[in-house]
Amino acid sequence: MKAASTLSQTVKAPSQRAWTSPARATGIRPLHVAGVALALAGWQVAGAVRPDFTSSPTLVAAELLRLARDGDLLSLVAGTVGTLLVGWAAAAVLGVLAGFLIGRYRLLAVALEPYLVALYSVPLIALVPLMIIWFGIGEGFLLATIVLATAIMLVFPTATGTRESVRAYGELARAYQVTGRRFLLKVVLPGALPYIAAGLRISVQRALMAVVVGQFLVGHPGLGTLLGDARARLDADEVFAVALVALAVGALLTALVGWAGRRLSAWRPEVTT
Amino acid sequence: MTAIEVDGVGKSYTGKGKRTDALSGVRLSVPSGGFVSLLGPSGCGKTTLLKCLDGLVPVTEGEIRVGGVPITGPGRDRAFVFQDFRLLPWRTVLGNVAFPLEGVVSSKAEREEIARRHIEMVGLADFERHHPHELSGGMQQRVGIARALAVDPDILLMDEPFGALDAQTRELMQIELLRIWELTGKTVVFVTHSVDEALFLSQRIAVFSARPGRVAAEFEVPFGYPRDEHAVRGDSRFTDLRHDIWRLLKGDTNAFSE
Repeated sequence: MKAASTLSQTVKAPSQRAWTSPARATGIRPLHVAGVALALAGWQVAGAVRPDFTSSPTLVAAELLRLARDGDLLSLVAGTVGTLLVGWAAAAVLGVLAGFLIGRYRLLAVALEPYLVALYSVPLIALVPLMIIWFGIGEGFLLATIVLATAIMLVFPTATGTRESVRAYGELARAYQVTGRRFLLKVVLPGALPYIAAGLRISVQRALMAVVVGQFLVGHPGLGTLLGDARARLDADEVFAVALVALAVGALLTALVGWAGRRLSAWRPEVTT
Repeated sequence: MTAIEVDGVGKSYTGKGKRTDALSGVRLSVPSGGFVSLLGPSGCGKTTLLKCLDGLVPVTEGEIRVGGVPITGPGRDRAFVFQDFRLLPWRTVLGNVAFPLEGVVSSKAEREEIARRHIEMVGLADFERHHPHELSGGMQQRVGIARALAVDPDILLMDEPFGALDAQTRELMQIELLRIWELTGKTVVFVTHSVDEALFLSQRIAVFSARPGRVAAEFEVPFGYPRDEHAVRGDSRFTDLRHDIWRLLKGDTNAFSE
């Protein structure tokens, strides 16, 4: 800033940011690359000793090619991801709505929180038989399982974000007579967004788990069913290949959701819950 | 003309069966276009009174009249500047200043035009696309002041607006505020715990005593505007007033600890 003697002083905008290296931009360091190379080499050696037991990178690569060519791998992955996205979107809408309501209205929080905590803690597998009775063993079952597994993971972060937002900006909004729907849409919701983004990021992994395990359990075509078949045939190559595909899908989805979340809430540091 | 009349105002809170009096029997009148400071130690109720003036906190006793009319809540005729700036971090400077206009001015272009004019007034023309976290504390409070001015209120209610700033920035902001006050002719009620700040800025200082908060004494500050910082601080009347106010505040603190 300039000297105190100037009455109408203007502050100048800072210059552009410095260049960032690819390592910094992606977070990948040479050490990471070396670690992966070492692990693959070790795996290859182990595979040379007991290929039926541990498989090996080359066997898995060959199996991946075979699955892609003859096993319809791509359409199975697409189907699984499609189901996941539909179920997860429904869960997000339900979870955010419920979280917003219990964050905004204390009575609802008091009334509903015990049930939500119970739902959060119950092992999902215990509810699977009920889901099968209600929804059969088709697409409906998978969607219901995803919603059941993931909606709850959005409820608490959204509720916390809503409370935080009201606490931080409620008085400001009142002072400037921003009330009702405008207060909810222009103040509370954007203020809660970083929390919602954190909930979305942790729930997408659980959604993938829910859909794969669901397919595995009821034999609905998809990644989970491939895994089930491979297990039945004690085919280590295929088990590893399918697990790798699931890993890749999970990593990609998490990265995408994380990126979108950071874009949406670039104005503040990430929230971890 | 009187802009604000505080008529026997009291404020008490009841919690766990215990009654706490934050304010009691406060009388104060602020002339239209005047600059009045509320000065006192922390916990004396000066911020509570300021929030009562805005209508954010309802009074439990007495009445506050703005332009002769008793207030019932926040209104367009008053705007509040918060100590911690209270900017919306996801909005740009322009978005923050335009925020209170959104329910009032329907055209977006017109809102932005009004916001830009006030951003320029506080010297941030180059920063309208920046987010609050990219700005220094002093710049953030400039945004807070621009936002308050954008609604074109008659009265600015400022709650220790420079309390979170470093000493040098604080002095610059005081000079800026006086410039804006002279330019716009708004009525200002300014809460502070700094005797020097109150003396440099205001025409009149209401000194508060604590628990329950009430106006212990009022002081007229005999300097005209624009004020030259060095001339004012070197003036013997400044030192005398400063001494009197300090003695009053100190006596109050002593009475308190006994």
